[in-house]
Amino acid sequence: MNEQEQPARDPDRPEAPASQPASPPSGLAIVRRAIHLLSEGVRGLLISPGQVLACVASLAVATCLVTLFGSFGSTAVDMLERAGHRARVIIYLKERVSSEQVSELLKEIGKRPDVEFANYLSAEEDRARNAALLPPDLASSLPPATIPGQHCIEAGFGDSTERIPDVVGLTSFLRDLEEVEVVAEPPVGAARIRAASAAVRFGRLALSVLAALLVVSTLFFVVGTLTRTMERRREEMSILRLIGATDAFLKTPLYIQGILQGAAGVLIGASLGRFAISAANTWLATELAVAISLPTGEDMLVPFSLLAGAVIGTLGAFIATSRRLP
Amino acid sequence: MPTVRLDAVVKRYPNGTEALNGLSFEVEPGEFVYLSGPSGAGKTTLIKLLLRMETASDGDILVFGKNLRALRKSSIPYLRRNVGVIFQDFRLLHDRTVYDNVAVGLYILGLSRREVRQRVEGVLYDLGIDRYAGAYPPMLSGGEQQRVAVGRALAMQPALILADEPTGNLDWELSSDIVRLFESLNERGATVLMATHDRFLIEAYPKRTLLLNKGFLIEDQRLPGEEIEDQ
Ligand SMILES: Nc1ncnc2c1ncn2[C@@H]1O[C@H](COP(=O)(O)OP(=O)(O)OP(=O)(O)O)[C@@H](O)[C@H]1O
Ligand SMILES: [Mg+2]
Repeated sequence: MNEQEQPARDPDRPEAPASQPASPPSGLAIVRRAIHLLSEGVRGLLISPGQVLACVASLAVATCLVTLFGSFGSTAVDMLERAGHRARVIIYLKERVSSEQVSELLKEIGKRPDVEFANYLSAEEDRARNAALLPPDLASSLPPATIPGQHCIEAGFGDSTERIPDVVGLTSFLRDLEEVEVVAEPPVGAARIRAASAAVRFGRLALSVLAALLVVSTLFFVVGTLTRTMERRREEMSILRLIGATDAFLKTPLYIQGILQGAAGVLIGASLGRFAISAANTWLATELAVAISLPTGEDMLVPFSLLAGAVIGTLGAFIATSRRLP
Repeated sequence: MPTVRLDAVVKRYPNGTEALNGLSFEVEPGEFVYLSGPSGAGKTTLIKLLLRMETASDGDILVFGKNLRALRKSSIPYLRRNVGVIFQDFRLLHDRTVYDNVAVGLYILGLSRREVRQRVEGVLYDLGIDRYAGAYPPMLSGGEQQRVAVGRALAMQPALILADEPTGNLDWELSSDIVRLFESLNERGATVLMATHDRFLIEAYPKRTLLLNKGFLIEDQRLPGEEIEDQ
C-alpha cells in the first residue's frame, strides 16, 4: 500500500453512506423505532419501581375518589333536581273568580321568569289530587265530601339548578293579587328548596374543584417519576444525543412511561370505584331497602380509563420533558 | 468537497477563554489526521465544534459541505449519525450490555432487529470482543471498554470518525491496537480525525498532523506520501 499517494478511499462510501439518511427516515424505520421506544418506555418503569408504584397508587386512589364522588354527586344532583321540579305553589282562588279572570291570572303568573308552568285545577280536580295524597285506605274510607277541594292554580318552578327559584317573591306577588285567597307553599318549604338548590350548585362546584385538585396532584406524581427517570438516564440521554438521537427519540420513552403509568393508575382506581359503588348499591338495596341505584359507568370503564390515563401521562410527560431534557 | 473545512474559526467560551484562535484547515475524504498539541491547546474544543456540541464564535465550519452555523437544531442529529465519535472516557452505558452499547446507535438509525444483530455481531467479532456481548462495561478492562466505544461508532458506519485521545490511558500495546483499528477503518473509506498528544504513537504511525497550541494552528505536518506501517 506504500504506492498509494492518496489515502484509501472506497468508491461505495461517499461522505454520507446510504445507510444513514441525511433526512428523516422512512415509515418502516419509524415503526421499528416505535417498537424499540416502547420497550425503552417499559424499561423506564423499572428504573425506580417504588416511585412508579406510589404514583400508580396515588392515581388509583384519586380516580377511585373521583369515581365515587362522581357517582354519589350525580345521584344527589338527580334527586335534588327532581325535588326541585316537584316544588310547586298552589294558589287557591276565591269562589267568585270567573274563568276569564283565571286565564288573565294564568297569563300573569306565566310571565314570571322562575315559573315553568301554571295549570288551572277545578274544585273536583283539586279534591282528587288531595285524595291521592292521603294513604289509600284512609282515602277510601272517607266520604268524598269531607276531602277538601277548591279551584286553584298550580304553579311549578323551573329547573332549580339553573336558577334559585324565587319562592318567596312569587308567593308575595300572588298574595297581593285580588283574586287569590290563599297561597300554599310547597310542603318542604321555600327556604329549604332554596338551600337545597344552592347546595346542589355548591356541591357540583366543590366536586369539580376537588377532581381538578386530585388530577393536579397526581400529575405532580407523574411528573416526579418521569423527572426521576430523566435524572437517572441523564448521562445515557446525553450520550444518545451525541450519537444522533433526536428529541423525539429521547422523549418518546418518557411519554410511553407516563401513559402506561397513567392508564394503569386510572384503570385500577376506576375499577376500585366501580366495585365500591356496586357494593354500595347492594347495601342500599338489601340493608336500607332504598331503591337508589348509583351509576357505575361500567361500559365506559376501560375506554375512559385508557383515555384519561393517556391524557394524564401525556400531560405529565410534556411538563417533565419541557422543563429540562438532558 | 472536503469532509471537514474550517475557515478562520474562533471559539471563545462564555468565561472569555479563547480556546481557538482563527483556525483554518481542510481534511479531505479518506484522510487520517492527528490533532496534536499540549493540554489546553483546543483539541477537545475542536471536536466539540465539529459535533456541534459547541458553536463557533466566529468563522465557518463545514462538515460534509454543510455549514454548521446554518444547520438547524433539528438537523444536528442527522449530522451526528454520520460522525462516529469516541471519547477518551468511553461514555458507555453502564447498565446495558456490550451488545446493547454497540446496538444503540443502530436503533437510532431505525434498522431492523436482524440488521442490528448482523452489524453488531460483525463489529464485535472484528474488534475481538464478541465473547463479551452479554457482559456489562464495568466488568471489562479499559482496553476492552475502549473497543466497545469504538464498536459503537463503527457499527453506524460513519463517514467521519472523531476520536478524542482514544489511547489516553491505555498501554502501548492497546494504543497501537486502537490506531491500527482506525487505520483499517480508514482503509475502508472512513475519514479519521484523532486527537492525541502521544508523540511516540505519532512517530510509530506517522500521518498528517495538525499541531495546535493555545488555540493556534502551529503546524500542518503533511507526509510526503501516506506511509502505511508494516506493523
Ligand atoms: N466549557 C469551557 N468553558 C470555559 N473554558 C473552557 C471550556 N472548555 C475548555 N475550556 C478552555 O479552553 C481551552 C482549550 O481546552 P480544550 O479542552 O479544548 O483543550 P485540549 O487540547 O483538549 O486539552 P487536553 O489535552 O488537556 O484535553 C483550555 O484553556 C480550557 O481551559
Ligand atoms: Mg481534551
